[in-house]
This record gives sequence, C-alpha cells and structure tokens, in this order.
Amino acid sequence: MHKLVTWPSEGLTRVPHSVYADPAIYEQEQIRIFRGRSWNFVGLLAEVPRPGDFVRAYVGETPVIVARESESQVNVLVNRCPHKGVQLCQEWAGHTKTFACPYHQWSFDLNGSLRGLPFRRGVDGAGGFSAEFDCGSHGLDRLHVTTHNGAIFASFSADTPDFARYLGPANLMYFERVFDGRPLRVLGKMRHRVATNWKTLVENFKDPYHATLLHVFFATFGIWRAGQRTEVRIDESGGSSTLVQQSPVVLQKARADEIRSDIADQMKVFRQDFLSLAEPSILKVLREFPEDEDTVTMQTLWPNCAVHQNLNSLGVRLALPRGPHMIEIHWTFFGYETDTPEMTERRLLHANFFGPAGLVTGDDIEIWQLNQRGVATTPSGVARLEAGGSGTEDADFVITETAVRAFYKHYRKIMEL
Amino acid sequence: MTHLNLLFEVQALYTECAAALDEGEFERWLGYFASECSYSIHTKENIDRGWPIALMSCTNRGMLIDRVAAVLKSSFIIARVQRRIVSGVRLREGPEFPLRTQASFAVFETFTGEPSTLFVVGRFDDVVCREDGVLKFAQRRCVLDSSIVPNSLPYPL
Ligand SMILES: [Fe+2]
Repeated sequence: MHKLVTWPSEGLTRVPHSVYADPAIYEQEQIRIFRGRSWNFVGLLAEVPRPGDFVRAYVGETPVIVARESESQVNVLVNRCPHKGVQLCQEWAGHTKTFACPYHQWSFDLNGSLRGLPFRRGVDGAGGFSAEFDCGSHGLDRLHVTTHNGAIFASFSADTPDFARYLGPANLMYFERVFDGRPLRVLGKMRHRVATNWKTLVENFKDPYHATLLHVFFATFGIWRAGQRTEVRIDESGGSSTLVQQSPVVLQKARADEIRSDIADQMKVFRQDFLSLAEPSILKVLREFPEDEDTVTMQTLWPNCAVHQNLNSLGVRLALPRGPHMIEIHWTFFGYETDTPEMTERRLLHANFFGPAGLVTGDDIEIWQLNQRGVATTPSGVARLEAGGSGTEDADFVITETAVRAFYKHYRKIMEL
Repeated sequence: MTHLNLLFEVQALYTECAAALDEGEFERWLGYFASECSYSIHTKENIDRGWPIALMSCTNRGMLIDRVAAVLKSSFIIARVQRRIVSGVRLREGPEFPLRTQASFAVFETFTGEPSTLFVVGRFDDVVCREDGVLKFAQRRCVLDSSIVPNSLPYPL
C-alpha cells in the first residue's frame, strides 16, 4: 500500500498537518488504532454496580453497550443489531435483562447472545427461518474486556497486551495511585463537542510547555507555574505518558518578589498586580494519597484517554473521534465510596477547573479549535516539536514536548507512516 | 393584582439579568444576586442520574465574583456575541418569600464571520428573595436539556 503521507525527514520533531485533516488517514486510524490493539476506556464498574445495569459508551466511533451480566462479568457489546444494523439502545444508562431491537424484536442477552426471534417458524407453518438458522452465530459483536481496580477497558483485538504491560510500569504506578482498588463513587459526566482533531487534545494533555503561557488564571491570581517541579514519564512504546507536577503553589502578594524576573519577563500574561480571589478557599486542597508528596498527575493512556488527579478532582476524559475535524469529549468525575462529605465538596468545587466551563480547560478548548483551523487549511504544513530537545526520553523540566514526540513515534509505528 | 405585579417584577429581573450578560456587563449581572447566593449549571443527564457534578458551580457570592474576574481578566475566549431568549417566567412558589421561580432559556452565539447558531437550551430553576426592597437571585440553577455542549461554556448563562 502506498503511504498516505510522507513524513518530513526531520522525523520525531515534525508532524505533518495532513494527519489532522486527511479523511484517508482518519479511516486508517479507526481501523489500526481504535479497532486495533488498544485498550479503550468505556466506564467505571461503579456505573454498573448491579447485574443488569448497563451504560452506553464509545470505542473510537463505534457505539457500545457496557453491560453487567453478573457480579464478576462485564460485557462490552457493539450497539448494533446484527439483523439490519439498527441501534439497539438509545438511553445513556439503564437496567434490563435483554436488549431488544425495536425493528423486528430480535432480542439479546446481556452477553450479546441472540435469545428471542419472533415468528422464527413463520405464521401457520409458512415463512420464518430455516431449521439451519443458528442463533449462536447471530449475536451482538462482543469486544474483549479488561478491568483494572474499577476501570473498564475494551478492545476489538484479541492480542492487545495485558493492561499492566500496555501502560508500562511508571504509568501503571500513577494509574494505581488513583485507581487503588477502593470502590469508586461516580460524581457525574460532562460532555462537549469540539471542532478539532482527537490528536490535538492528546498532544495538549502531554504538553507542560503551554500551561504557564496559556493558562492565565494561575498567573493572574498569583499561582505560580513555571517554577513548578515537573516530571514527564513515558512508557517504552511512547503511546502513554504521565505528567507529574508539584501542586499549584499559592503565592501571597508579599512574596511576589520571590518570583524570578527572568521567568516573569517571558510571560506576556504575567502581572505584578496579582488579583486576589474573593473566595481563596477554592484552592484549599485536602491531603490524600499520603505518598504523593503534594504532586498532581495528568496521565494519558494510548490512544485517546486521560486521567487527571489535580487539586482534589479526579476524572477520566476521552477524546472521541467524530470525523477528522470533530471530537466529543466525555468526562467522568468520581471519588471514593469512603470519601467524607468535606472531600466530596472539594471534588465538586475543584471540578470548576475542568470540563467545557473549566477555569483552566476553557482556554485549551479555544486553542484546539484555532489549531484545527490552521492545520486543516494548510495540509502541506508541518508542526515543529523542538521544545526540550529532539528525543522521546523522560524529562524533569517544564519546557518540553518530549511526550508529544513519543506519542507520534508510537503513532507512526501503528499507522505505518 | 399584587400577584400580577410580583410576576411582572420577577419577569423584569430575568430580562435585565439576560440583557446584562448579552451586553457583556458582568459587574451589573453580579448586582442581580443576593449577598448570600449560589449559581450553578447542570445537565439534565446528571440531574436524572442523581449525580451532583456541575459544569459551573459557585456556592457563594465570592466564587461568583471570581468567576466573573476570570472571564474578564484571565481566560482566553474566542470573541463572540451571545443572545439570550428567556421565556415562560413562572412563579412556582410564592407570593411569600423566598419565591421559587422558573423560566426557559435559549442562547444563540455569533462568531465573527460566521452565521448565528443555537448554543444551549434549558431551564432556570431559581430562588428569588427581596434584599433592600429589590428582587435578587438567592439561588440560580441552570439545567441544560442536552448532555453535550458545543465547544466551550466560558460565560454564565
Ligand atoms: Fe492546558
């Protein structure tokens, strides 16, 4: 097969714009990445606590149903009747024994097996299905499933590496900081549709470089970022990585002179006249994860999933592709069953920083759209990723794009580009 | 007749509140909230599931002031014009204070060089009190009909 794009000769430090806009590349991504050897987050066990509970989710573009069949068994089924292709289930969540297609009333078990076939023998002995029609081979398409401490992942491929190996040891450690085995409590969903390419989000999540420059909220209110201790931990493949940062430090106005002027001068947004928050208690963080030394983490799981642990907010977000120029972002916010009311209050307050109205993510959403306008109108252009060198190794500084380069190293391997 | 006057007064509060946001006058908008107040934006999906998360949640006036400061001074927002259509203002509980009031809203957005589009549709579910003789919101809950928001939600509704 001829290559869909000729990658610039500079290699890791370049990304051709056409990967964000070319429908042929998008089609290959669906096949090789989302329907290939990838673990796709589809929900939390806490969303389907009882046998019979189900929720709707997506693996890439493919709508799926996540159904709890029994205490120990969760199934992920393609939300499509094998008879004519009708979508079976429209509600986000529910409780049922069977999924019935509204068209001809074929009905399916919670494991996807075809159970009910009205008029199987026809009417008055005429018509219907032959004796050879095998219900066993006309069930719902079923994905491979793995769960890890309450998080459910699905794969179209039988030979996706086991989850621990898939993430790599460093990422697994941070994943298990949040998903430590305690039962989870869902706090809610946020969903939005953004006119951009799914990889633009993944890049943004892996990029500590922009945070100081774009996220003016912190600088405006005297919350220092550029000097924050930062670590970037990348798995061997390059696909998944974790950004570990010191918790935002609140500087009092009196301590403004401690800010290094050589850093402040670089920031257009920097202001000596910090505004003070009318309600500074929003930044109050309850200590949890005793081993964490006050760090926050942003984990990106190949291909399109991110887990955040920041202030007291915990969440998983997905960048679901909807064509080359559109995504849906689905957020799941949660805490633990054992959370105190004070902790739940913190988690809910700190959600103000995230989602479509996020005090921080709000800035990013605007950039993602502007980014797409640029790349889509100049498909021959290239992005330059030279911050922090040209490699894909771990880093312990802020101004680096190493994890983005690593992501494309893996992307090119999977896509054969 | 008193009841009609009260309804008219509530209607005026809703209209002025929407106009202040449409005109980008956020300080004026803050003036329509009581000294003890809360403001939140939810989706019907979360409410139906009994999930407490809000897209925007200010549990006191200070947080509302900070949200406005963030909008005005510390957020990167693509310029747009918003137009709020508020309709069907009704008194659910009253005329004794605090009043429980409701209305439907639709917000349209217009970006430079683009035709206008519908942004969000939903319902206000509010508590109104009288402070210094003037009606003010003690609680405003915006509930979006759709679970999915187009792009970002930078401004209050
Ligand atoms: Fe960001």
